[in-house]
Amino acid sequence: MQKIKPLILLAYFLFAPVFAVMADSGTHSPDGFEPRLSGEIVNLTLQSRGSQYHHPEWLYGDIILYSGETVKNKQLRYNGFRDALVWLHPDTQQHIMLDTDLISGFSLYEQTLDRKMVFDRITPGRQSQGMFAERLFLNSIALYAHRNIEQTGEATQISGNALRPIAILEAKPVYYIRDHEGTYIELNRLNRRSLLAAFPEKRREVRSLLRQHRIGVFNEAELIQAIYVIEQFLSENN
Amino acid sequence: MKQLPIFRKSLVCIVFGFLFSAGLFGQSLLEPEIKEHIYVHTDRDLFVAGEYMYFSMYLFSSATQPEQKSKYAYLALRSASGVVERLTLKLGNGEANGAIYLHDTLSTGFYELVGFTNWMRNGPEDAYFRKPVFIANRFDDKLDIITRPLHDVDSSLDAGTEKPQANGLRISVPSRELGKRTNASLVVEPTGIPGSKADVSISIAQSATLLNNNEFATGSLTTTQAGQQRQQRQQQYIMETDNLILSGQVVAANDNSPQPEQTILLSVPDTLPNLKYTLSNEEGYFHFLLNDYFYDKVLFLSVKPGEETVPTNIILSDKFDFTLPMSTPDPSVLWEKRDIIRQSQDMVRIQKTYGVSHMQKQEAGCSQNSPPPKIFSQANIMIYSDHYIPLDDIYEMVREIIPAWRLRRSGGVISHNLTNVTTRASLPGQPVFFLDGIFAHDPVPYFDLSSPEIYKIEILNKEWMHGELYFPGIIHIVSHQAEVNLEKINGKYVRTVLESPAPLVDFSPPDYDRITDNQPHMPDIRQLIHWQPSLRLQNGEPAQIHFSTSDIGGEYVITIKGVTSTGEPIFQQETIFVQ
Repeated sequence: MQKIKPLILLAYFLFAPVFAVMADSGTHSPDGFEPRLSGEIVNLTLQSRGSQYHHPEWLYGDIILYSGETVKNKQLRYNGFRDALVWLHPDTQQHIMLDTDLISGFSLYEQTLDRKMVFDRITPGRQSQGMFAERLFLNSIALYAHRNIEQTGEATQISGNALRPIAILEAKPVYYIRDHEGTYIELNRLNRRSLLAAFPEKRREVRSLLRQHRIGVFNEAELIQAIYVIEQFLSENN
Repeated sequence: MKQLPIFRKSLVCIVFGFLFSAGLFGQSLLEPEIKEHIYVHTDRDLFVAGEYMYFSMYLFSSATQPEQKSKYAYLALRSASGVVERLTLKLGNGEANGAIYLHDTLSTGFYELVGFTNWMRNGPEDAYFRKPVFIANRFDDKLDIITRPLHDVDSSLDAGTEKPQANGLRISVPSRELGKRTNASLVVEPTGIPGSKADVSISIAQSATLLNNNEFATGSLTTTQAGQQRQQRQQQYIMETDNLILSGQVVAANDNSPQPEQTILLSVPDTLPNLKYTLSNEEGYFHFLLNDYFYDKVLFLSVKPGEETVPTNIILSDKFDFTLPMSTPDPSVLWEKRDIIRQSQDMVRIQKTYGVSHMQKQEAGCSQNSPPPKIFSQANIMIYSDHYIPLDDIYEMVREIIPAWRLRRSGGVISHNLTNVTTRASLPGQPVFFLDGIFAHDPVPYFDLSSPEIYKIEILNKEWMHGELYFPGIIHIVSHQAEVNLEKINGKYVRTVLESPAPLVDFSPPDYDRITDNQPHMPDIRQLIHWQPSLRLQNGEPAQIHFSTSDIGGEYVITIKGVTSTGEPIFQQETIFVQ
């Protein structure tokens, strides 16, 4: 009996939540209320050196549709070579290249690094068709990184008895600063000069700020730090 | 093994029994079931067909979180023969208001106002808000329906009898006797209302137009609240916390047996192909969450072809399909009010003759902003038929100008498919077809459309997924006469219209401070001299209400009804006289 008692209690604690869910009052929406994802079934296999994806594994994430609705917890990969979000269909395991114009943004959760990446669809120029860019900083000014992957060359690879060309793919991120008026400024290179060029009217102050905080803008982390400092300065002086 | 004493065994059994039942009915213990109640304040109780009935609706909910309260409610005006007017109302902070136009054709008699939410449909109908109102047809001079009572009149509905108990408010009037066409004011003062806030509505109406059936009086809610207990129903109605919900059931056409796991498709006429779908549950029930894009549009619902094992029907759930019979008083209770009703009929006739109306719709809140549920953003091929010479039918158009669409007729059998935009290989299977935005089960009847009848053809020649649905390409034909062509659409469609929430309204009587000529040619024969559907009282601060009297003298009753922030009903009445 003494052995049974803990088992009974254990059984209760294990099954109580199940019963509770069964007796749910029904305010929750059924699954069918979730908006649907639309896209083309694709096979994006590409013989290449370097990946066409921004991150190597499928990551779970949420998608915000153009309608404002959110589709949650889907397996996704961002393809920087095609600027496309690919969804791994849970039933068929097919790769679905989601209709870009039906998506206003998405987020990806990288469990190993406990990091959430948020991508917005931005339109940096009038001629631009729009692109997905990772949101690195957002306040009165914003910093985005378009996780662009480019073919930088072609190599050959022996395949059986034949030599086949393969693409050389490299990550070539492009950074955009969105100022308080909503205008996007592209940073051509990751350095102090290009950052100063993005703030022509405050060039002297920005330079002084970067010196003061000893920010070199040699990498992405420093760029984010620089934008944070600049944003604080601009909001205090406006 | 050491034996447990009997009392310890019992204790274990009791504890186990309690814990098990707590688990089984965990929801009721861990998360109490949400109860909702609706209350409605109308400007008067006696009306004449041809005028507006103003109302304010209040939602009482046991939920503490705003996202667990209904955002939509329903109000029906029904006669013994059925619902004569139905309104969908959007609740803002648990409150809505509006006006029902009482159509000229309504016959004389008692009607019933019924208020409820979709969530309340899980409970019995006797928990719905129900209130009798009397409507006289404008041209019914005889009022034969109001017969002489055989016994003493049930005075419980008659005005002037004992007033229901008031609470929480004080009404101060500078002068109880007012002249005609005079601007006046009153002060409403919260006197110890539970909670710091209260939302109320105020009516000032001729006392003869009121019945003494005050559902807001303290204590009268107890019966209704006790009556609302969850019924064991097969269908679970879902709380409308974000958008309106359309529910229904898929049943077998032959024996009405529920059909589970059927895909129900929904689309509306549009120049964009649009589609929503959902699956029927084990009992065949399904629900669609529909945003304002779907308001006031004809919804086409059908079961996805190819999934049916037996022919099926879709039965839509009508929120206004009441099972409980209407409960109204005997019209003989109004025997003493016949002359008053005749006067009211005359007044409405005069107002109609002069075209006087004090109702104004608020424009805000009626706009539709949500985008359609597109299945693709851009087609690969877009053909505008007026760019080409007229062609006799789709067959000819396909042959001459749409090489990606292969359409074959062989031995009376028509088959068609698309070629992949990238590989040029045939896509496996027949493409899905949309006509004027609607998912069409059978495209063949439309292949006879000539090019002048067609505005454009959109083709998406890709293998496409929309949720779990696979489409081997999509063809969308937009015709010049969508309404005509959709009448001919083949397949088993159920059509319905999702009524948009009724607009908010204002009551706008004349303002005699602004009218310089105090004897205008327009008659002012209002029996309702003031209606304010929404007033927030907070922090014990009094509120001043301005109103103007009309040409009709007599006794008027100021009625204030509403709810406090803690969900308590509050009520107060005061009488004034117009000389």
